Amino acid sequence: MSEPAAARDLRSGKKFTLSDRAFGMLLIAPALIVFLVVIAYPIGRGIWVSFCANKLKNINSPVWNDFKNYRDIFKRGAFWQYFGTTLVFVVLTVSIQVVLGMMLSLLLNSNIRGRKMFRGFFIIPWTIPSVVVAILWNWILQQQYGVVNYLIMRTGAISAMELNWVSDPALAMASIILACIWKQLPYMTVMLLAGLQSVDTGLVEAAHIDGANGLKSLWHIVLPSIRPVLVTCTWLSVTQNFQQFTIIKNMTGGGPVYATTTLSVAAYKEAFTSYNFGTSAAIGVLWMVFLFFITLLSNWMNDRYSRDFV
Amino acid sequence: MKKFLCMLLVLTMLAPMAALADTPVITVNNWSWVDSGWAACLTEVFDTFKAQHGDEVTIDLDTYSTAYADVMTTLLMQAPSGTTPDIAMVKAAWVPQLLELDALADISTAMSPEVLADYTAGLGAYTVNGAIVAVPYFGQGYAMFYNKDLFEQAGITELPKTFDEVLADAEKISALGSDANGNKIYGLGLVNSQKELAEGYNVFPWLWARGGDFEKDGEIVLNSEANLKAYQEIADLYARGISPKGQSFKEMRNLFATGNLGMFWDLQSQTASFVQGSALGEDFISHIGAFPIPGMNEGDAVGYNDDVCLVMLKSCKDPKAAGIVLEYMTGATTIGLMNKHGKGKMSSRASVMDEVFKDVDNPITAAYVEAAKTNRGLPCMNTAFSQADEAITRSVTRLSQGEDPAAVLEDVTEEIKELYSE
Repeated sequence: MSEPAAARDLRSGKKFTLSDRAFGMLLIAPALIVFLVVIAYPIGRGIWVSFCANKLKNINSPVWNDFKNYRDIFKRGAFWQYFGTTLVFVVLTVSIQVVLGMMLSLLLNSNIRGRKMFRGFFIIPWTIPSVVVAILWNWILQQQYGVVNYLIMRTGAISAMELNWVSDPALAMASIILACIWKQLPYMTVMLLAGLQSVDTGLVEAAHIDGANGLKSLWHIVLPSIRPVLVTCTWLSVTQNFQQFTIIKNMTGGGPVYATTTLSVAAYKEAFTSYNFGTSAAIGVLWMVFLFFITLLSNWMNDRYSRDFV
Repeated sequence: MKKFLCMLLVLTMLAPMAALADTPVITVNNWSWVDSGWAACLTEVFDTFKAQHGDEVTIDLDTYSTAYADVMTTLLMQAPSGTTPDIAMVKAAWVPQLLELDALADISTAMSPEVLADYTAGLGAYTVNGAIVAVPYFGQGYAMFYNKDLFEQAGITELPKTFDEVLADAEKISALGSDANGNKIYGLGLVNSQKELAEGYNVFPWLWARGGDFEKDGEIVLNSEANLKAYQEIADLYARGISPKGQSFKEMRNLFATGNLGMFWDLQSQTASFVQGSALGEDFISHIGAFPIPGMNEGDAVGYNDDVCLVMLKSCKDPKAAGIVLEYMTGATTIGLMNKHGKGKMSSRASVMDEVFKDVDNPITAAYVEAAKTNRGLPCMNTAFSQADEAITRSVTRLSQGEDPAAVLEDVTEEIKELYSE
């Protein structure tokens, strides 16, 4: 009786091989499965639910209702208010963070005494959980007992501890921006610092020899050199702040009235106060589409810059 | 011989478990457990249950997952998959949502008719299509706390008997200006942070004190002359600095504990918060008192009860065993232990109130027992009520920002009518 081919191969020392492609797929299969289950499926289901009537009554069986959820969102008009609030929050938080981050990273990149120690201490706010940051800043900005009101009163700008940071619409926005910047600034600084340390010092020295002052060498040498890092950090900060929920919910609850109700807070309230999961999903999809197109635009501009200038 | 002894030892250790296996296990969630101030009370409650009923039922207490703010969301996620506890402690305002989820079982199959008949106000509010879907666990009654020292400093010698007198006294207290440390003194506190539940219907006593109401015979009647008067007074309260703006319940309690607030209405159990927040500690209790919230005329009272209920979920496999737990948790032993630990919870059962509160020597408890006789329930058996609560909170915030009370009242009435019509 002839022996099987596999046994013949084993005896002769031939090894069983997969093609490179199949082997690669096998290696990434676990990550792919996790991605599909944890990311792709929830996104897909969320998009589907956004086109369905999904409330408590039919929580397990959403019913397709075309674009009704989207029509309701725009008909109510509040969506544009939430969107505007989100844009204001994101633009202010990110821009202030980038400027401050750049300043701090330049400082930490210079030869100051104890810079290693400062770099270590500086990262601390980033390690504090967001809910703790919100509680902390609630106390710092508390009207009757907060240290900020006390210090402002001592400067003479106000006569009594009367600034209500969470009840005044403008101050409420300022307070959440302040808390978010405090939490996120260390990350931005560290990333920009890493970028600065990769700048060719020879170029900077050459610029100085040619008579460029600090500002000119920053603008013409340093910033273009760290442009990829700067763009990446800025973009990460934009997407992170678009999703910001914990600090806003715990500091102002989206108030006073709707002054700090961003898209994330609105989606949460739609789902867990109104129990309207379809509309909540629709808000999420709209903001995902917006970020998607902004990302495409950003990537296109980046590619164009790389083609034209690199 | 050694083997025989080992086997005997194992059998001896395992034998009690055989007895346990026969005792039905009822899972109960209890959000108060996560509050360190309740641990001693609840330990005694459930230890006493074990001593009295341990041979009939075993309670599996969910002590880790359900902080108050997460209870509704947790039940929402558990209900569709049938992983809810057998008995859940919920606010009355959440019962409609659980009904929508079709998660609630008929409690009349679990509790005895005698106990169900013991409820003084009946259980009509919690009866849907003939099934009793919830029973009050304890009533959280609201009455007015006041600071005796501030009353004395303001020259107020008698407690206010009408709501007009409350406002007049609040003005006198606010006129004291600041304390020795330069911190402002407020006369009457009205919470309005938009960060917590229940801030909206916390203004109901004010509406009732002016002869207004939220709902009548199923109709939203917010936009009335009486309620407009209340809204105008609230706007005035904030504009003249008699109440701090944007304070949550927690912040208002801290303000009261530091002696910077003359009056505000809250739960009796919050005396524990005052003790924690005050530099005087336990001594602070002797500096404060309580009285039922006065209404329009002398003798009227306009407090409210924010009921906490127990519901039996459809996932419960043994209603009879659950009934034993429900009757114990709503009974005199539990309420008596809560009273012993200073939690100030009242019962809706006549026999329990008669037994536990027949001789009350604590003046604050006495005030709350008095208030319980006239406190009104909330019209919360509608899924839109929790959204209405948020809408009212926003309307009060608009008043604190100086908007026209008539316009605010009109807007909030339209908003709530639309919510209810959906």
